[in-house]
Amino acid sequence: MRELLSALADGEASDGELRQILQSCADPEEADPEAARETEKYRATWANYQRARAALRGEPHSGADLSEQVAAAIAQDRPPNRLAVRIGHLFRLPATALTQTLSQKLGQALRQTAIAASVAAVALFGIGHYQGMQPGHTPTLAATAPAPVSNDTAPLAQAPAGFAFQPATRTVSSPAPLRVTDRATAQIPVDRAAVRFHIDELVRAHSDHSVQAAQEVLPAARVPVPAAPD
Amino acid sequence: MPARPRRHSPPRGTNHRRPPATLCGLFLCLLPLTLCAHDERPDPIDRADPKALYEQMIRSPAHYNYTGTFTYEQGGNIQTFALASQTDGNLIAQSLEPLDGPAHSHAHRFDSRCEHRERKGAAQIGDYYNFYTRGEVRIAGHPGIEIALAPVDKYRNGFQYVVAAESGLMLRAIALTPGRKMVERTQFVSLDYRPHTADSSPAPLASRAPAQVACERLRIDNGWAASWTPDGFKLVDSSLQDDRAALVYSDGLATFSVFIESVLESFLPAGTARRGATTVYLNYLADESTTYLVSVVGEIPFATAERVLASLHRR
Repeated sequence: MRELLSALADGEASDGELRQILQSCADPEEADPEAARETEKYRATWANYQRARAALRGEPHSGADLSEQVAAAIAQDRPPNRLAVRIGHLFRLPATALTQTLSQKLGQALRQTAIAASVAAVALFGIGHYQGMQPGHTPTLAATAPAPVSNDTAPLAQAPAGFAFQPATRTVSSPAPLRVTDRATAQIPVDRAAVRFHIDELVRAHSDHSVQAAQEVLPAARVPVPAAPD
Repeated sequence: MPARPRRHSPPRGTNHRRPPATLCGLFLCLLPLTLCAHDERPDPIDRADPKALYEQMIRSPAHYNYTGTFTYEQGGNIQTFALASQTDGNLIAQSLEPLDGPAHSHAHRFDSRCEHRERKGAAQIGDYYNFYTRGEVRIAGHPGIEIALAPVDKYRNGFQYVVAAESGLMLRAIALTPGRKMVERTQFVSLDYRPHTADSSPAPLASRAPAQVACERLRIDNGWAASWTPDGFKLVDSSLQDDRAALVYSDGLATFSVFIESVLESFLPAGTARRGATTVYLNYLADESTTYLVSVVGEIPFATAERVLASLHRR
């Protein structure tokens, strides 16, 4: 499920995956408490995305749920389908107001917001310390991320010859004895030059492998052009 | 309104005679020679068969000498490159030079006879990609046919290629995420080619390329392995250099590398990055005594990179 949400955040979720996300958010009234807690976590994650969008646009986050905006967008009133009912529970909308049009409009809104949130994550990376957007983690994005992307963060965020770097949003389970370390997502001072240098070096090494594997020199085009000496 | 076919008539006032029989005889004698000269060219392409087009595309660099310029687009940025490729029918030497920004060049040499070459034909990758023909497209002044390779699962990217109708050379390549979002586009702006002849040699370009073309590469067991990769991805290389272990996997079309190095402290944040089709996923693994910085880099979706990283283990 978290993979699907992440795909959504990356703007890579298909319509089918979007549907799966919504269907996975079980009805809190009829599901077990564990599922209700899961739904609450997704809702918290979603709230983070909204705050991120507000921060990105330089708007104060009103605290209003996206659902209110979606409700305003409803133009027609048809009998709700099952998916629409679930959307209603997820976003605390009255079931009577939900239509199939809503699920389509919400799909678009979800995508736009998720894309905006992922861009905001890049902006976040420009600040001095990195904090992962963990579910359950108190969202601080609106408070800490400067609304306009400052010139200081622009080279990394726009990455003319390199990468846009996004912080990891998930921890990964791994069979013993190896484990994914917790401190990986703890606060680490970000040295942008070090990150960039490391990634460029990795991509260069991978490109050498790829050129060999593909038996063509085209993968070398993917390697960032070395910066001119200052 | 369709143009009416025009009948060619001899200009007035000229004495139009039939060609002498000797000239016809000479032409008939030379005809087989003319045909022989084209023996080196690949067979005519079956335009309706996307797998045949793909095969033609990956083999055409061994049939033609060509030069061209192409653009590489990703993330709203565009970079122009000059490409030159020469062959003697077996060895292929290619050089790549960016035309924007600081000048530098990249050169390489391949042997198309290498049996183990990781870029597999349509038959081998057909289990992991569905092939489609999308229609005719004209690129860089050359008519071409577009083919799509759609992944059968969500663990790999999709690709679309425009294959030149006459030569089989690649005119455009597009990479798409499993959600069909275009992440990079490589497209020729100009392309000149000619069939290689017996005396054409990749030497001029090869002088800048590594001298050795080794079919068999030395594979060093570095003690690491991924217990999960998407179906079809096989280990094609492993190495250990400067305390950094590397594993390279390929499904015959896409490639990804896994780099593992022990670190004293987490000096980089865990995270993901993208440039075009290439994704980078960094995270840390630890056992009782050591922390490892693990990086998965390749033309694969983030979710695949993440799952591969989580499956890494010491053998």
